[in-house]
Amino acid sequence: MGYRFLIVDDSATTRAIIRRTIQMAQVPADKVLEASNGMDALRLLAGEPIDLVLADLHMPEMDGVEMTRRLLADPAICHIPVVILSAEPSAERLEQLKRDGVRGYLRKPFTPEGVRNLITQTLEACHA
Amino acid sequence: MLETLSDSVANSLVDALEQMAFISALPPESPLAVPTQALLIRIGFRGPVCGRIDLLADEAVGVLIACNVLGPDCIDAPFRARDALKELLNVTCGTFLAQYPPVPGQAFEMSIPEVQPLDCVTWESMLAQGDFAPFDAEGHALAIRLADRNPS
Repeated sequence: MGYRFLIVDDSATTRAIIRRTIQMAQVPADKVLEASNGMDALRLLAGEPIDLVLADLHMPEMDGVEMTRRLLADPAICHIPVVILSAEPSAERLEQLKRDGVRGYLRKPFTPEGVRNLITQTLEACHA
Repeated sequence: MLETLSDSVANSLVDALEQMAFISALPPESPLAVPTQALLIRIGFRGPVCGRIDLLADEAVGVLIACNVLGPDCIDAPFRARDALKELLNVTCGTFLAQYPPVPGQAFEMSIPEVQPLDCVTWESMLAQGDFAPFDAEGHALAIRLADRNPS
């Protein structure tokens, strides 16, 4: 059985890179869905079972911080882990995200190994 | 100091291009030719200091990035070129700002990059301002500068 991922990034190129990275990392994936901002992601999460959300921080309409805040406030989906992949320069802010409920983060530009490690560590922690 | 920061922006671009797309950018051996499809991509930032980074690029660089990151069988690389260049500048800006010493309670905010086409005259007049660092990215023109930097 594979995992179901949701990639949230306003850059279609970055979404494609992450999708390809998941394939290259040979993480078992049944389904990989995409959304271009936090609002679209929440709509998808309302109707699709997802195991892990990989989200950017800076997006139009709704950014990754607000998306995570709303996800955590919704009892139906608050169990879904969120990890952040972002060019965010502030280590302090990234650490704050973890205190606010984000399970992990990776600063862009990321490597396939970095993405694989982030995914496996997060999913293992959730299923421990 | 400004020269050092400009060098840092240029180095951040070279690193981002290398790490994102395995593309080498080197100082050109001759002046940059005006590309057929010239673009200006901009990103602003505010925090301990405020400013903007301007990237002049041949759209072909965006196609090259898309091809490299998505694989040789990516048929829609030309349609992803501008998106790829915006993401390149986003990553460049994040890499550059991450080098600033952290100031407690003053994190940087970056804007969403914007892209616009340029005509030949504007491309040449911008490069003539002399504050761009020019690069040859595997045969395609690229130039970057740190603009409007001010203490917040």
